Amino acid sequence: MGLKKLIWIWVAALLGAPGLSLAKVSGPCVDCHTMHNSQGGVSMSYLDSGETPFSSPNVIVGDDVAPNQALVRYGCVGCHTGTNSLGGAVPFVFGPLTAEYGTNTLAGGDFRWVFDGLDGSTKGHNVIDLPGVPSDMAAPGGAMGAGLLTCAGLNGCHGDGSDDQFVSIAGGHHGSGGSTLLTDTTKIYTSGSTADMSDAFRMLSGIKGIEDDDWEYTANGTKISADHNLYSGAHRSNENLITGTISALCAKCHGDFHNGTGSIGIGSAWLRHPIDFDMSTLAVSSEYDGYDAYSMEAPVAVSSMSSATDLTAIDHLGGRGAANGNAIVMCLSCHRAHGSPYGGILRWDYKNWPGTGTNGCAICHTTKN
Amino acid sequence: MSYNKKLKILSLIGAIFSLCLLMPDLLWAGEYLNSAHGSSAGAQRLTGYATGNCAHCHEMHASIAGSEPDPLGGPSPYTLFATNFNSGTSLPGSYLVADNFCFYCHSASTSVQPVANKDYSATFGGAATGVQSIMDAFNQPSSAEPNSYHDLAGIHTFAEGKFPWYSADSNPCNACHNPHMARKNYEDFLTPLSSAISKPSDHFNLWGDSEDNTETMATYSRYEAPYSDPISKKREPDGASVSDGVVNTGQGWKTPDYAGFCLDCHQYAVGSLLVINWGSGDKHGVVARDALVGATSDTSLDGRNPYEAVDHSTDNFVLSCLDCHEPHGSPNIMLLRRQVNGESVDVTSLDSMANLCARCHSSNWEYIHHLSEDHPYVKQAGQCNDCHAGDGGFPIFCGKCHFHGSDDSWVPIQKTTPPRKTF
Repeated sequence: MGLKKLIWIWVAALLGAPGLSLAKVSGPCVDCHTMHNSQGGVSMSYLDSGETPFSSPNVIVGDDVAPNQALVRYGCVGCHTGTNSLGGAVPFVFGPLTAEYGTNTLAGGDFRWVFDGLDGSTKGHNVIDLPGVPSDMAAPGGAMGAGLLTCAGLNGCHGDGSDDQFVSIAGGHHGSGGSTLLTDTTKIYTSGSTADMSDAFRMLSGIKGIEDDDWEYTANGTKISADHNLYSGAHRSNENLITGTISALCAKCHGDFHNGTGSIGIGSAWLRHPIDFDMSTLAVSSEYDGYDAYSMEAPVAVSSMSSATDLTAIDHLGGRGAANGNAIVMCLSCHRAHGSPYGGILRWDYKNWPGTGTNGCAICHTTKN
Repeated sequence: MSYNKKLKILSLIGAIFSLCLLMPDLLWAGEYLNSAHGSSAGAQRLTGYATGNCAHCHEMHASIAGSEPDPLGGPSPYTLFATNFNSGTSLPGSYLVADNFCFYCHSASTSVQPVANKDYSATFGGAATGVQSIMDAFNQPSSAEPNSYHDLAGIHTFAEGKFPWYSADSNPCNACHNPHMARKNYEDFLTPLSSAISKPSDHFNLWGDSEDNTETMATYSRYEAPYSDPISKKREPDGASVSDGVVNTGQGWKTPDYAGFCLDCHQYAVGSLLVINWGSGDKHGVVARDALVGATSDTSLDGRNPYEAVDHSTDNFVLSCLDCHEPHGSPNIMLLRRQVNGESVDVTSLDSMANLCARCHSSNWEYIHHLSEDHPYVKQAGQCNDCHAGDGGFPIFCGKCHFHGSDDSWVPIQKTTPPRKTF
């Protein structure tokens, strides 16, 4: 075989594996970085609350500041503020003025509603990086005090827990971790690394998962489409902490809602709503038999996943009388991670049901309608 | 197809679609929204939540927005806002609100959401208002003898051993009521009934709401609803006027089959209570009456209206348990109602049981037992003391011979062989 042929084979192979680079940020470096924090004698760096590169017009006025770590011009909020659109390259989680829940918000929801006030304390995670966000609320069910929560870092959800936010997510944007699914090369499987944030679901250290290519900007729960994230869960028969699941991450701050003796009540009557519990174990005659397909309104997690997972082959079935591992109740079954228009960061308008609200509970509790 | 024909078809489709839009939401409402708790007049503990919202009973994380609303107490089974049932400390007849989760609302003395509930006698039987809540019904002072209430701890123990769905953390009220399904039956007597009850053996379905009336008293060959007002001939349960002598089935359609319901438990020996055999053991149940001592045409009950007027057109009446008994508690013994067949009842001891019997039967006890054409016992000189001496008396207390499953084996000399059923 000649050299030319080999080169063409290499090129073809590389072109055939585009997903390997899907997790990486792409685009001009200057969108995010500044080499000398200086352009015409003016600082190029901004606080998290500062000017944002992707929103127009900018709605948050910030001050020029000293250089940021990693040579970045903006913090988390700076880069992730904007209006999502089809094909967008950046997942925006703080939509200035135009966030329309379920229309241009992503899987985690949007911090817009916690920023807006008006009972905002319970409509989003009170991340102090956001200017003006209410910081009066400690984490319910845990020891995290008020006014501490950040996007990443020691008191944040994202990253490896390092004290500094930038350090904690280092490698997350540019690393080569994760691998495309064999069956759907638009989705990426992350194994839940604690060292390589590019191989952790949404840079959530230790959490595995499968990322939708547009972060559920478009979403479809039908089996044939399976246009959604896939979250990691586990089926427990005790109240012990379990690691690696998306709910276990929440438990870091909201531990009482996930684990601890006398906290959940697995094995007896539930003391709190079950989490990391597989609905498929429940009786065939139970109402959970009615959960017969993945619901974008009340999604479930799965206990097993890999790069070989085929989302379109999974039957998310509750009430089967034996565990199938594909109908696991998780925190995100009811809540968004970032923010929603509804109290408790719920996925639906719970407080106003019955009436004008939505009975999302009935997605699983199918007779309670 | 002509243009006009197409237009007509399209118009018809449009009209049907429009009518669908106008149909009331109730048509699509599920079991919970149709229930007493989930309806627009349902549960309302918390401000800021829609009436009937789950949060009025359940706190998913034993707290709301980081703190626990009143009443405090930490997480409770089934994510309820308080302990479901305190089987260890609750005292029958002296229940406290904190003893039973349901009492947080179904009590007149609660601060959560006081719900007014009258007893069966007042709600359906035409009696003057008595107790004002379910808890009060369980706590009525009994004049002479205890046990005139459904013993919640006893139900708890029995149900846990009998019904798989019932757990150690369940609430004994739920043995009879499914809180997500139970309806306000006194507000709706249409078919199917708005029933408040679920058989313990079929907890996840209502009992009494069958479209074909197989779960109502109409399922028996003859249920004659008692008066709620004997003057105006109004009948239970809804006060509809039915003339004496008219074979009445309509009221049966409006009455859940309480016999079938209660027997779900009382077909068994529950505590020290007698086994009830309504199907083949009791004449007040399905067993036909008998005629003795050469009776020809008079096989009468020697009853009172509304039964007397239609007595000869049937060989039996099948009573509902709630024709005589209250479901929760009573100031009378044995959960006997305050008012039966439109008249008040005062039975504070077994000796005064005749006050109940006489609401439907003639109180000429001598005639019934010795003089009527179908009298069961011959009145003979020299034999009176066989029965009436000692604790027999004149008249003999009804309870000597008449109780669930009874026969006349108590009668010293003239008892029949084999003993005849006397209830």
